[in-house]
Amino acid sequence: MGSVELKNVTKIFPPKTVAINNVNLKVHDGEFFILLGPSGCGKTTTLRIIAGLEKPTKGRVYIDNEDVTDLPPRKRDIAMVFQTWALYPHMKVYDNIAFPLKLRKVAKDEIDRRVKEVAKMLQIETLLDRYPRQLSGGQQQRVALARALVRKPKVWLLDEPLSNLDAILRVQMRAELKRLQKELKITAIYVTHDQVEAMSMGDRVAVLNAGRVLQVGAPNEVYNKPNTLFVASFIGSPPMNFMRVALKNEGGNYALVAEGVSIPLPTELGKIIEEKASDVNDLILGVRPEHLELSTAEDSNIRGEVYVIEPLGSETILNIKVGDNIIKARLLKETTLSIGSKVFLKVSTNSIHVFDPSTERALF
Amino acid sequence: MAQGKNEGIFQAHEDLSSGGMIDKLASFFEGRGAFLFLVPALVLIGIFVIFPVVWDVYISMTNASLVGPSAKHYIFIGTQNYFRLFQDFLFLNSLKVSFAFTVLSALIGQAILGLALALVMRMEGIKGKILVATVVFIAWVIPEVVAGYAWSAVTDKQGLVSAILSFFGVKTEYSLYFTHPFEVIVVANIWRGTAFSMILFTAALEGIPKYIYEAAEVDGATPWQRFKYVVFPLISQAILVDFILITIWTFGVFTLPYMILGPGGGIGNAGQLWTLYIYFKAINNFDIALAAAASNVMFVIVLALILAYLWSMKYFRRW
Repeated sequence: MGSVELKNVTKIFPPKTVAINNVNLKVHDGEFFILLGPSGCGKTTTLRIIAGLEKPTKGRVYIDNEDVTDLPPRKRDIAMVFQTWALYPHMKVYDNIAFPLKLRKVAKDEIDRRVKEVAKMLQIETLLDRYPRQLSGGQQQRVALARALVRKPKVWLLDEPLSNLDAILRVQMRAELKRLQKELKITAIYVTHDQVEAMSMGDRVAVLNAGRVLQVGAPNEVYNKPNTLFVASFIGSPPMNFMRVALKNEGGNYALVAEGVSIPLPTELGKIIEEKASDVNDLILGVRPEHLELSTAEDSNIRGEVYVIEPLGSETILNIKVGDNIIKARLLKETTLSIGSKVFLKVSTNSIHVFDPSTERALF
Repeated sequence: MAQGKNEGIFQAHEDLSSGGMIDKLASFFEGRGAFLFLVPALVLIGIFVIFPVVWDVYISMTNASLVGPSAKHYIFIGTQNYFRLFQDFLFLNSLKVSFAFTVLSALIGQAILGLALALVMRMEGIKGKILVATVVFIAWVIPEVVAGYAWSAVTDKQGLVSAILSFFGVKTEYSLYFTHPFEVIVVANIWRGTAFSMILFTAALEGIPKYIYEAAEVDGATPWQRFKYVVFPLISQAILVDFILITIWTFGVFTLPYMILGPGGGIGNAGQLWTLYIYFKAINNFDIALAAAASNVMFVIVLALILAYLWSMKYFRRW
C-alpha cells in the first residue's frame, strides 16, 4: 500500500521565491508516477516535500490517506534515491544497504538475508565488500537503489537517479527500474527533466513549469493532447513545430492560413476555435514533426522549401522553410530532395494543435 | 594574416624555451642555486631552533645553575639530573597534574564542548547562537595574561563566583583558586581553548554534504543515530587532528595557570603543571640543569603521544 496525495501545497523559500504554487496531485498505489519539467520548475521541491525534507508553506501531504505533513522523514516509511546517490562514504556497500534495517533494529540474520536478496536482484552481490569510492557511477547507483528497496517502503522517491550515468547505461537502467517497480508493485515517484525517460517509464506523468502542475495524464495522453503550449513544446523530440496562423471563415468553410500554410478544417473544429479564441487572426498552430508527410502539390496543406537535411540513419529530419518559420518534418525514408527544392507537406487535421497565444492554452 | 600571427607566437615560444635565459635559470636552480636560496632560512632555524635544542640537551647533562659559581663554571655530569628528576616527588606530581589537566581540560572539556557547540551552530532556528559563538571566540583571542588576571579576579573570595555563591547562601571563606587550584585552572583552560575545537569541528561538519544527512534522515535515523552512525565516523579524522593539536598545546600551557596560581601551582602543588614545575626549578630554585632535563622528558612524552595518535590514524578512514 502506498498512495500519495498533495492538497494545495505551496512552498515559498524566504524571502519570496515561490518554488511550488498550489500543487494538487494524487498518486495511486503501485503507480510509476513521473514529475517532469525543466530545471527550477519545482519538481525536486515537490519530491522533497513528499519525503519530509522540506515543510510546505501551505497545504497538506497525505501518504495512505494519513496526514504526514508534520511528520519527519523517518516516520513516513518512504525511501529516496538521490541524484548524487548519497551513499555513506565510510560504510561498505553491505553496510550502506543494511543501514535502514540496522536503524530499525532488525535481527542480524534477517538483515543479512534481505541485503543479499536485494543485492542479487540488482546484480551487485560481488561488490558488497567494497567502499563506495571503489565503485563506478552505475554501481553506486545500484547500491543507492538497493538501499532504498531493502526496507520495502510504502513509497519510493527517485530524484533524477539516472542523470549522472552515461547514455548507454541510462537506457539500460531505465528499463530495469521499470521492471523492478512492476515486479515489486511499489509506488514510485520519479523526478526527471528528460521527457524520454518520462514517456518510457511512467504510468502517469505530471508536467510542471514555474511551480505549477500544468497537466497530469498517461504519457500518450500528454503527448497527444497537450493542454498548453508549454506541455506541447516540452514533450516530443524533435519538439513540436509552431507557426503563427489565422482562422479564415469563408461562408462556413474554415481554414487555418499563413504564408505557405492552408489547412482546411472541419466545420465543428472551426466553430470551436472561433468561439474560444480571443483573436482568430492570431493563433498558434502546432504540428509534430512525425505527423508531417510528403505529398503531392494538390493534396498538400503546407508548402515550403528544403532548408537543411539531417539524415539520422533510421530516419531523416527535414528542415523546411515555410514563410518565416523553419519547421522540422520527420521522415522514415531516405529522401531524394536537396537543399532549396520545393516541398509539399500534408498534415491530417486529427494531428494538429491550436493554441491561443494570449492564454497559451490549447483551444481543443 | 591570421596564420602569420600564429607563427609569430610559436616562434616567440620557441625562443623562450630553447633560448639561453630560461635554461640557464633552470640549471642554476637545479644546482647549488636552490641551496643558496635556502641559506637565510636555514641559518635562522639553526640559530633559533636547532641550537637551543642541542644546548638544552647539553645543559641537562651538566651541573649548571642560574646563579652562583656553577652558573659560569659548570661541569658535565652525565645523566645524573635525569635520575634526580625521577626521584623528585614534585616532578612526579607535576607529571600526574599535567596528564590530568590535559585529559580533563582539553580532551574532555574543550573537545566535547567544542563539538557540542559546533553541532548547535549547525542547527536551524536556535536563537542567540551567534552571541554564544562570539563569546566563545573572545575567550580565545584575548591575551593570556589578561585572561589569567580575569580568572584570578573571578575566583577570588571577593570575586564573581563568591558573589554568586553567597547569593545562594553559600559562604566562601577563601578564594576558590586557593581551595581548589586544580579545578580552577581546568575550568579556565576549557573556557579559553574551546573556540579552537569549535572552529575545527564546524569546518569538519561543513565538509559533510547535506544530502548525506538527508539520506540518513530518510533512511530512518533519529538525530542521535545520525550523529552516531554518520556524522561521528565522518568527522573522526578531524577529532583526531583536534586531539593532536590540543594535546600539544595543553601540555605546553603556562601563562594562564601561572597567572592564576603562580609557579608553585597552588596549595599542595595541586595545580603545578609540568611547565610550572620547570619554571619553578629554573627561576625559583636556580636549578637550570634540572629544568632542562625536565623539559627534555616532557618533549619525549609529548612526542610519544603524537606518534601514538598518528599511528591510530590509520585505523580511521579506511574508506
